Amino acid sequence: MRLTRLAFRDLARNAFQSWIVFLCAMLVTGLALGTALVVNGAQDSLGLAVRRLGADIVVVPRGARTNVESALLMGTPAKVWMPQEKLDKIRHAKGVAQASPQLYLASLSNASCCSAPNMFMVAYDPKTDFTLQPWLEKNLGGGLKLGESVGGAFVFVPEGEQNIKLYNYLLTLKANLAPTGTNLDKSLFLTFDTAGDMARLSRVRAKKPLVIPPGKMSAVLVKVDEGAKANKVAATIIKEVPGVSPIVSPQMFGAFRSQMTALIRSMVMVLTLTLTLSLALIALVFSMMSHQRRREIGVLRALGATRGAVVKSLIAQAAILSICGGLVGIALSSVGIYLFRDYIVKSVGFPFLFPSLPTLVLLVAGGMAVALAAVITAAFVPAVHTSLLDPAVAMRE
Amino acid sequence: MKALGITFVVVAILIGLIPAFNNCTYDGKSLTVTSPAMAMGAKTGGMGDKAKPMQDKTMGMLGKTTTAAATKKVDMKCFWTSRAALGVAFPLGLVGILLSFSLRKETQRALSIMGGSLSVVAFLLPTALIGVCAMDSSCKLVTRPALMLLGIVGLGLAVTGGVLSQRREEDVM
Repeated sequence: MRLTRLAFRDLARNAFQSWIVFLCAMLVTGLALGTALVVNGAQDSLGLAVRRLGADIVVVPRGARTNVESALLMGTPAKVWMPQEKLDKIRHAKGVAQASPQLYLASLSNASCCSAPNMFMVAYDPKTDFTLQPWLEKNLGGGLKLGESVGGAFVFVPEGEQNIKLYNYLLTLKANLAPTGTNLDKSLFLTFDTAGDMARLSRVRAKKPLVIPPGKMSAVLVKVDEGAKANKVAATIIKEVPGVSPIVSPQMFGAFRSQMTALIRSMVMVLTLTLTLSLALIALVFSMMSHQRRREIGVLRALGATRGAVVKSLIAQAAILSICGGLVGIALSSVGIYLFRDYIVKSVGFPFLFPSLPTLVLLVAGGMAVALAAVITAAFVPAVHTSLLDPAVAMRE
Repeated sequence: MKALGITFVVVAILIGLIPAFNNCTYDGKSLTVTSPAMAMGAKTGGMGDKAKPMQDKTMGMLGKTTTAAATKKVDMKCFWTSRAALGVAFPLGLVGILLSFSLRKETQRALSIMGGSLSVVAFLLPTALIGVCAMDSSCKLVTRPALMLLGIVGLGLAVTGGVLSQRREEDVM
């Protein structure tokens, strides 16, 4: 009889113990993969959001840092304004290569004039923009015209309609950007001219007008000179331009990063605890299983089976259970996290992007390795202990 | 088969319970149609304009109900999805119980096929057959993914049941 067949038969005979080990392997793998997916997804998402912003420094009004970060990541509407005169001062600061203003706007939340409630809108200046404009020129062959917009990955024109209606202003959606997992995916990008036109017409068309205070802007995106250090340029901006807070891109979304670190710590703690308990339970189950099989193992040994064969048979059982449990855990965990991603984002309060296929394969392989290592380690000691039994003593028991 | 049957029962209970506590009606949200003309999509009260994008789709589905009454509260898609899920959960639970006690391979196979079919229906309820509300409410964030996941799990259990009943028969032969 082949080793695997023998192992399968033994597992079927000890159905209850097999189920316990299977469930432990499933739990450990699922939890390990789930933790890895969430952590990886959140980190990827933050990285992509910083890259999407495309600036070395984002200058916001003093005290508005958290508001702007929340708006960009989680879509919490931010009404932050600073005088446009600051733009010239920022442009003339040492080390600044380019500076482009932006307006952060939001659609109305309870009005029929808007296709999407509380939609975050970013208006940019096409003459100075260095983040979206190059992408538009490369992909659409030119910038946006009046009444045109570009949406995040999840922005779409409502079914049966030709345009997106905001403040009863019809916007043409020209293209969608790649997903980032952040609220930028649900945001709309339009030019200053379109935003101004929308604000002007909203006074007569919409329930509430879109207010853009004259001579104001929400933020300034800054690109530093080649060779200049962003931190030094930020320090210069603080010195030369009063009333603003420059955020250097690696430090962007700092509040979310610290929140994420705290969550990762607690997830790792839960994972460690589960892994320890599962290991103990699997070891206990295997020692019970091998104790019950002492006679059978004694017969096998008397018939000529070596100690190695006995150990191999028990380890094969552990491997079968860990592979089966691991596969089910991986499938449930990855499908569950994929389906519940919006709920996760809403519950934990930071963005999440499901990893790409190569990363997922890598994480799945890691999860399987955890399951195999956990179950085989737990089964190894009872297996060796049983193999050391004297066949005659074992058969007499 | 006992373990499969018990798991089917657990899946059935979750299919019945999760949508029942995660729908707009349970959260106190519904559409209020104030006149037949409004029911055609002109104006609505109740939730106000917040519900407008989704309301138009709901109106299409519930056209008869909404045009008949002058002022009426209309439950949204997710409420009907939860009712239908309850309808799927009962036979699925029964399949699980029967599977736990059945000894004949043919019966086990037939019950697995039935469990699989019901799981597919559970998967299709929020995605194709009825749907859920468009806004970010508990029905979209919880009910939809939960029914999809449970549908997949149920289908997986059914396939496992089918394979096991087949293999055991081969073993006997």
